[in-house]
Amino acid sequence: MVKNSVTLHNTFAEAFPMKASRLIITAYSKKWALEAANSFTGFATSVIACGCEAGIESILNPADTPDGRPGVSLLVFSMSEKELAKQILNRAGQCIMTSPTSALYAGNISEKKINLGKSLRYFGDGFQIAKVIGNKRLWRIPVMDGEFICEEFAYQTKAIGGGNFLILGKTIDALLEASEKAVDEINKIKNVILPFPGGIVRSGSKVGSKYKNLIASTNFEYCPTLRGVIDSKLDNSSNYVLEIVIDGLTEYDIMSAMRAGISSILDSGYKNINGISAGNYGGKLGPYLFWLKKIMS
Amino acid sequence: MKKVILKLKNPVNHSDLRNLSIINTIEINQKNISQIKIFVNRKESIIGKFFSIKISKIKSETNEIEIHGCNKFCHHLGYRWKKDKLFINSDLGFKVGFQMVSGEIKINGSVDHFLGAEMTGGVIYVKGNAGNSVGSSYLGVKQGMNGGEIIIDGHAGDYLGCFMRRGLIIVKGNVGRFCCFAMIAGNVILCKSYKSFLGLLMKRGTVYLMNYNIKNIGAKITKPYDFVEPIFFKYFKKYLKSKYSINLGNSKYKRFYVDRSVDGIGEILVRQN
Repeated sequence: MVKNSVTLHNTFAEAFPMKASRLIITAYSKKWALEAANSFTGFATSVIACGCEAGIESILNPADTPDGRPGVSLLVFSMSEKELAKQILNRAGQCIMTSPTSALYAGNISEKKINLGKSLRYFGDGFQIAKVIGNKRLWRIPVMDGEFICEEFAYQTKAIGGGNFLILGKTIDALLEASEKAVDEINKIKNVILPFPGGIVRSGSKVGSKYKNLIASTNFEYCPTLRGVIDSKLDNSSNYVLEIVIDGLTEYDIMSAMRAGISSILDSGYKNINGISAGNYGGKLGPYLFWLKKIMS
Repeated sequence: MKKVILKLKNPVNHSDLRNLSIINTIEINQKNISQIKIFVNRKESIIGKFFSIKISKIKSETNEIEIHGCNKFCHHLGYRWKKDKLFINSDLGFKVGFQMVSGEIKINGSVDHFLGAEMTGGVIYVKGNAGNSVGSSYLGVKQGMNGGEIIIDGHAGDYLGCFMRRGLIIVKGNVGRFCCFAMIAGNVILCKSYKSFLGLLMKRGTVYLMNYNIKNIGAKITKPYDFVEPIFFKYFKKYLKSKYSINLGNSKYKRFYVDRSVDGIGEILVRQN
């Protein structure tokens, strides 16, 4: 399939099951809600070495938050229940509780609970107060700017990680422009996050390495500098490749995000974009296969 | 779901309606309901003998039970109420919603003592006044209301929230003496005045005094200080507004701890003009 001189490759993105949780951070202003959220989602690009993948799902209006203040909705993904719980608790304690005027609430409900206020309350050293309002239990932990309000539990849900597509370009400026446009379109969609810096990753990886202890290494087939050395998947004019990685709550969410991102590139008619491909491992890594042509049909 | 309308045929001098709560668990039909045992004038009887029963189908997720013609001698209604909505279009006697678990009880009248005592969940609305020991423990029991919500449009008597451990009580009128006596936790909002010995032996919990008068607090208190609206209060305000259309306004508060004679850290928030 070719549209506006951009080729859509006949391949698929391969994704795998993950565990996820949604958190809502509120603060005195949007600025401070974002500060807390950015701190929480820092160093959370890939489960390869960060323990979790996290990102800002959406900015919330005061009317949409539990306490009527500006807020941010986050999604956190991890490979196991235990790691997800550990990452959320550590990051909530060090990045949100420490951020001025912040409060932290669960953004979803399920049967599987993750300790939040239930563990963080001990910071209150006996002066913490529990409040049950409706069916929610909140902890009021005294801190130097007043109180840190934290819901007792966050909740774990099933999710999918590793949805992706690759953008192949002739020039880096055209490639960045197209990628940023795709990121902007995907950011409008709920239930998904783009965990990498600015939503874009340049160091796409494959599973394993020639070195024993390394679980992932560079996706050499898409490294333009290795053309001629290895059996490359890039043609002569594709000098740069960037990847957009998408984590989402359901297959439908990832498909919607991929469709939005790819459409934005195909429809815009960028001259120096050659094609769109996707990263996969021959179907060995995960059960979710997102065929590009099927998504765009 | 179904709607059941029960009408008391003749006024009674005394009735114990606690067994009516079986309606939560049985299949609703004329026969089953009419056979529910109750005590009327201190003698065992059945519902069908004293109440007319009308059953109809409704589009609702829960069953609705509507009771007409009761009076202040009808006691124990909503005892351990588990689900469904219960509407009472009259005054009622004591121990209404006693040990209630869940569901909703709406009383279009006044009630006597021990309203919602030892309840653990659900919501009780009272359009009129309530007697003593609202949401408290029963005599000799050391744990009162342990969840749920009670909203009283009128006044309430003494010992409101006594030994209360969790939940919410809102009184839009005045309350009597020993309010929140030995309260362990929970929230109490008092919209108008209260009598002496507020917060005596209070351990934890929060009392909101919407009337700025802070006289007659019997407990040993800390020095009051200005309290800019805390984040929890914003959450609580939004909850009250969305669920009960109660607006607590944007006022400043003074806050102090009670009862320091028992090392309590119950908080009293007093709205300022």
